[in-house]
Amino acid sequence: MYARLSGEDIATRIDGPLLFLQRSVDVGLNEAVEVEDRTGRMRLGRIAALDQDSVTVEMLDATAGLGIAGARVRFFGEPLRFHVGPGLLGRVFNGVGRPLDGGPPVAAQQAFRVDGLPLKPSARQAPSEFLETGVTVIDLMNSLVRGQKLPLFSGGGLPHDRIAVDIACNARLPGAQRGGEQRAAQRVERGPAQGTGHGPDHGAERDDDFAIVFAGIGIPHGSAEFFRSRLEQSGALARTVLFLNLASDPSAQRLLTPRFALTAAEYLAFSEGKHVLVILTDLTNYCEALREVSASRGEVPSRKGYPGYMYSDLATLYERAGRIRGRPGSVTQLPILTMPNDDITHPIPDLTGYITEGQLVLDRALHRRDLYPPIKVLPSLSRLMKDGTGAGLTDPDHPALAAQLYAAYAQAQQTRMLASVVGEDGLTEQDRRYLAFGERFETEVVAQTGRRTLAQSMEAGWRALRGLPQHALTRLSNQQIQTHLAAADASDNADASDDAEAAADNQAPADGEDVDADARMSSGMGSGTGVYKGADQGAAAQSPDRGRGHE
Amino acid sequence: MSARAIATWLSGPVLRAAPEGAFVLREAVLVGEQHLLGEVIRVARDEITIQVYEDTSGLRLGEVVQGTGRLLSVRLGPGILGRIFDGLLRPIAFDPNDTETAWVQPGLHQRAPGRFHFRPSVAIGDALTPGAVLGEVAPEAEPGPERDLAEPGPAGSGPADEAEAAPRLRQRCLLPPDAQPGELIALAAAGEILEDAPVGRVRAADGSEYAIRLAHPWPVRLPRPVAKRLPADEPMLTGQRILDCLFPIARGGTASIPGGFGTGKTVLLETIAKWCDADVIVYVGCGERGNELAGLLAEFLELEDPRSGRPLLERTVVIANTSNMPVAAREASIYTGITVAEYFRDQGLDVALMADSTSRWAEALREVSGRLGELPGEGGYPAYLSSRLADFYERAARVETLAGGQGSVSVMGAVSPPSGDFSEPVTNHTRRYVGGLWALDVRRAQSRFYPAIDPLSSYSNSVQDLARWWHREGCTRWEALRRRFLTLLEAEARLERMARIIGRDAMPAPQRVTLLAAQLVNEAFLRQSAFSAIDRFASPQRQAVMMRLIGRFIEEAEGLLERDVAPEHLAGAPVFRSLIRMGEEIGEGDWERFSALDRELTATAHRLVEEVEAVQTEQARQTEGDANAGRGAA
Repeated sequence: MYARLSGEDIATRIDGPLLFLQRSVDVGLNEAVEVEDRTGRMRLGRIAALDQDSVTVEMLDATAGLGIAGARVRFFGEPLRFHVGPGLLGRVFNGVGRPLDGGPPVAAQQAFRVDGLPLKPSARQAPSEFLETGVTVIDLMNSLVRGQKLPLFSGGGLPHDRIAVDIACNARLPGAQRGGEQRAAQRVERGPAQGTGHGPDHGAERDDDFAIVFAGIGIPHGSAEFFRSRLEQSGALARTVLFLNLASDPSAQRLLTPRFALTAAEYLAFSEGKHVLVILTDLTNYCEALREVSASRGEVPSRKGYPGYMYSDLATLYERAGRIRGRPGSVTQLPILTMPNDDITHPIPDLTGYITEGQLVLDRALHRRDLYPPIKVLPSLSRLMKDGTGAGLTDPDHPALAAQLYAAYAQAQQTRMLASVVGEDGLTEQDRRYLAFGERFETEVVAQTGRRTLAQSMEAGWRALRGLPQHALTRLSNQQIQTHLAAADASDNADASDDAEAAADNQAPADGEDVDADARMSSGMGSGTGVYKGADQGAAAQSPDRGRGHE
Repeated sequence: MSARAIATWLSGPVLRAAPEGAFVLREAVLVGEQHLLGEVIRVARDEITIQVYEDTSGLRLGEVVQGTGRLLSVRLGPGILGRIFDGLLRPIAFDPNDTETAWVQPGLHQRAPGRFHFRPSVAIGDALTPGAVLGEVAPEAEPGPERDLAEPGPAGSGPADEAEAAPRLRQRCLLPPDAQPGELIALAAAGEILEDAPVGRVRAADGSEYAIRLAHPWPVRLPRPVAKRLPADEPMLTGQRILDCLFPIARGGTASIPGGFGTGKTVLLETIAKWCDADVIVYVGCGERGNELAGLLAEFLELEDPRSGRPLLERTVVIANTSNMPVAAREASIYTGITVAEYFRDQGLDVALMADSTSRWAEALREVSGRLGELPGEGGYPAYLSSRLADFYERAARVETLAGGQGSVSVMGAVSPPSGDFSEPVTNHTRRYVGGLWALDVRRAQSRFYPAIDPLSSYSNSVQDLARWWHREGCTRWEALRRRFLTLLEAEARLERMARIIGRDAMPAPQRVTLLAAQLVNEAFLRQSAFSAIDRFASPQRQAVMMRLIGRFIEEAEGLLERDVAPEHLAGAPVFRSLIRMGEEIGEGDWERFSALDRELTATAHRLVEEVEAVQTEQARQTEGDANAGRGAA
């Protein structure tokens, strides 16, 4: 199939992104073509329709400057493929898989169709393993599970770029995990992965089992530079494959960028056995490109001019997250989209929400108060959290703590509304405690300055709950209240708990890596929450082993 | 048979071809070397238009289109139970020993015939009519080659080992409904037989002979014939209190579940699939999430059918066309599902079909229609959306089968309205054809109140018919209590608004009683955790007991009001907390604890009255002359 046919002077008409050719060679639907114009510039295209006389090619590059005369068309004889191999990590590509970092092309081991094939539902492994992002609102309240797709709904001017990069730098597999023997056995069977430079495997999950695929879709030049330099500085680029499709690149290429990125992710996950986190930003640009291309094809538009097949099209991206039974590795997706006019009912977030397993929503009010990350807790949801947290998975008390924080914060929000009507003086003592909790929750649990391990996130959660009357904590068992809240509640004193942490610090060796990360993060982030920084660092110094008590 | 055509025009999943031979509309065709499955959707003298149900990448002009001489059909046989298929009933099982099979590859794959134990119930010489029962079919103890929904490796033989322990569902072998009547001239002896091997021969009246097999094909768009339709006057019990008691569905009935994303449509459908009292479940995952189906498969393998003690998967057929699988097959999957359901109904079984979600099916309809260049109607959907929805829901029925037995197909379809707006075309048209509406409410879902069915906008048309059934079963006050609950909830909605402004405590006592009673109805009765081991299923007896207890509480609360006992005293009593938690705490058959709760309620009411009276007498004695003073203090 690699015999490449070519034809000269066969173009008959150019109409927007569509190029019409005489049918001189026998080609198949969806196959890739490359068009070289008189100046030698190459453009990619895809065969969209065939009839007796002509071939319709959908160009994936700008057609401006392309003429009928002198155009040379090469037929690939197969759909568009991405050539992948062990050297993928640490590389930077453009939106259609060409190196942008000046390096040589990747030594191809395999070539995968960028469209991918649908995974059989019966072949899927139901996701159940926790992935730590370092963000408390995600890890503690809306846990991300390997194989899940959890989008971030943002808006113009909100710091989703920063959140994306922070997660790319900080995300990791939470320490040694269960099932080590099983993994080791699978490794032996997995031929190609032997040559990827893995050291001896002791069954524990290691940091190099984890990889990031980061795709910028239609992003401004400034954001692209930000992503690249931040990943480089933090050293995360070494475990990352970066795809950058700039806002100035042809919009048709945006339709390919996430597909190239996901193809790379699938290779890393299912051929190399890594756990891959795919961050796609910004899906709104993707949908705009979809609308643009659809309109130029003259298709019947659906809601707000977007094509009727946008749901199916988005699904072909999002559904590529998952795990396969009997294979190591996973593809987890964190797509980011900006809601036009902050409208969650807009077709883009709406259709996304119908496909993905939950959503995280950013909040302008929190952002205005300079709380970072400004994730709105109440409408955020991780549908798979129940499958990936709790005893044997994260921490036995994790789900109950999350539920209690959720319930208490919902109560606090209601109390805020009441207080805005009747005034704070009209509130009962309990109501005032909830108001204080709401404030504490937002500034100490939601807001954070550096990476937090799950153990640190949980500690922040327990700390916020102190001060609420214990009888109101209906989602916690008496045992949990006893263990985590009783002592501190008696004194109800922040200093006391700080002392306790200092003591814990002395007993357990500080996790050097964590502190480093924290320092790195602090330098890269604004210090708007400086008041609460002390509390965070106190937590950061704690041993991370507390969250891993399930071993 | 075997007309041919040559492809002349290709675009996406639609192709046109020049026919050599006669094609009929809706005929199934095989396209190209890969034998992609397609369906003829337009016929002209020199051109046919074909919709291909698979990825058409790489398809070329000049490819041969092979006619099958048959309408788009599925092969129905005993082997489909307990398995997973795509939208065209082709197996998409996964072989864990070969992880390369993890992806859906285009091309035709037929289900491998299974082996079954056949026991005839007719004799040679019998006159047979279409739909007649030839005998019983039981799955063979040995797992077939496709039993790979079970866990991989040696564990896969686990379920088979237990096969002798509990009886499995008995299926029947039928004379296909479209077969000619005739005389049975040959019949296999009792014993093991392959699904596609002949079990008998029939000589029709015109002298022609044909063989009967365990499996037979049936066109998916054609409803299977029945002797007659029966009234739907028996409930299909779901084990969910809010459904069975407030918005019941009858056997052979239909219900629609509209809800925005995150409101729990899928969890509700899965819960019903787990606990409803149907013999066979057909679960159509139509354009939804792959991970959810993976979870469902794993769970159904583990969970036991409360009635037979066998894994739930054994009574289930899963038809999976996830959102990333080819769109055209999604359009067909709904019809495939209901055809499978009718096949089991014709064996005299009660079948429940869940379609998640019909909106995705409608979108597939819209997409294919758009590619054909049809004039769009409302919301871009084709103008025939409404009649297609009617076709689908009308196939639900309780019937007398051709063989004289009784069977039913009940249909529950989820609807995913864009931005949760129930005025959109699919929700609206569906509403016109279904007997029940279980509207999911975003606010309830966001406060984690599940099932998030909004009692004020939901309805059921079969309440009158089903009230008689509850009466016969001994729950004589079912209808009255149901109405009482609904009026309470309605009143609550009104009072809640006021309570939000002036605060609950400032409201007059009768209104506080209403709010308290409504709270109990909501928390103790309507809320039911799908993940709680005790409360995920409630038998009609348990539902009736709980209903009566809450009814008793309402009476007591109102009685106490007349005796000047403030509702807060009742709310503060331990019995109130016990009542709220009774679903979580008191399991099936534990009637004694329910009775104890009833006695505790009576005792509490007595105690409260005595306390208030004691205080009143005390105060009356202290402040002689002002008899009314005590009332305020109460």
